[in-house]
Amino acid sequence: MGERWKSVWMGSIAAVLIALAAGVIMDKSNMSVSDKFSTSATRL
Amino acid sequence: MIGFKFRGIAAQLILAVLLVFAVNVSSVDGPALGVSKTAAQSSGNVPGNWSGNVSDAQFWRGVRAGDCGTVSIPDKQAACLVQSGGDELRAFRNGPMSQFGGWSLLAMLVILVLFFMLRGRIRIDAGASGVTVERFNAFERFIHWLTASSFIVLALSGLNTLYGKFLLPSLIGKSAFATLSMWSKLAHTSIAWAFMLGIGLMFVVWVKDNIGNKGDLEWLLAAGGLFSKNVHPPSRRFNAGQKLIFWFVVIGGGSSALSGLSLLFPFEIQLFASTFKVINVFGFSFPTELSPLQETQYALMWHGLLGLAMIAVIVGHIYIGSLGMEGAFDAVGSGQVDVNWAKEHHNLWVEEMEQKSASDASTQPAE
Repeated sequence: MGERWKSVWMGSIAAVLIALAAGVIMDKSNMSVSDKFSTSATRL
Repeated sequence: MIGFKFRGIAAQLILAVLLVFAVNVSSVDGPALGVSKTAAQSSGNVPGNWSGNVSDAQFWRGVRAGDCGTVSIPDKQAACLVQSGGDELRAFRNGPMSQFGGWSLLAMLVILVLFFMLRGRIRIDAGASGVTVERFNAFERFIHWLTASSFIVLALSGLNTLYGKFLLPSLIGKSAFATLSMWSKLAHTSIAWAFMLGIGLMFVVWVKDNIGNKGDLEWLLAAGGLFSKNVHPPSRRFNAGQKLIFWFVVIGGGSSALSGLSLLFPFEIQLFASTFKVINVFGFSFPTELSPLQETQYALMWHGLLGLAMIAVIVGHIYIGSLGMEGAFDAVGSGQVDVNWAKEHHNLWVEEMEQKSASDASTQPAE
């Protein structure tokens, strides 16, 4: 890989990895659909 | 017999009175109910004034338009049955904002094309020397591309959110557009975290070199030599144009990030009311009591406006850093730039580097 594009790839791959990690964390932290629509869920 | 006859006559009398009363009421100017028939049918007034001075239709029209009543519960926002700000936001977003944004992006592209046609690629006037100097180290280049690549994804997915439905369904079909938009939204909210990390690191690493000084004014007055050959106003590590881009990305990107966080966590991160309180100190009168819905509407509007502005500016940055200027890409590519390029565009920085390396060499013990 040419030096010219190495940092481009490094930065882009890092962005994708961070995005994937963030996506998984946000998905896990959300209520499941069944919980969200349950009568016990009182948050608006 | 007489009693029976009397009852019959009384009944007839009562019937007659009722008949007269009915005729009276139904007559045009009957005074029986105290309100004339014409008055009952005019100006939307409800006869008897039982619901105030407005009709039901007028009352509900007011509610629909956002008129609020009063409530005794602590949440005073509950007094507003219908919050019609959403209609205003949608009209603004799909109207002036979309149009202005679209024209701005197009204008930027046209300007760049014209600039390239008239000025051409900005060459190294002294020619490439073949000797290079390190402009940005590996970590700095990594930060730049972390931010840049996440920005590209954010820009494309954001543009899809604003314009996609007007352009793409007819090209790729509604089902494909729906799938694309679902993934686009997920990509937008996920890669935003990489962008936020990127601009945070950028600020920490580069802020000391992006503080304005007197020389920046001279650079700006010469337009950086952009429009003239062999004109190279003095510059340190970052010229005034780059400083403007830096602060625009940090402040604009930071504000965009905050409004985006508000959209991700609408009932938890509400920033506009407190921001307006600060702004109102300078004589403005922005609303300072906002419901979560209103906060979200402001956040959506601000996020979209900032996004459009950032895309327009960064398109210019991408142009000058690639096609527009010979040798510029190397700075964030390999990190090594030609010395002649550096002397033409950042002469004071080259002098600082030479002085530093000379002083480093003089402090090294002789072998």
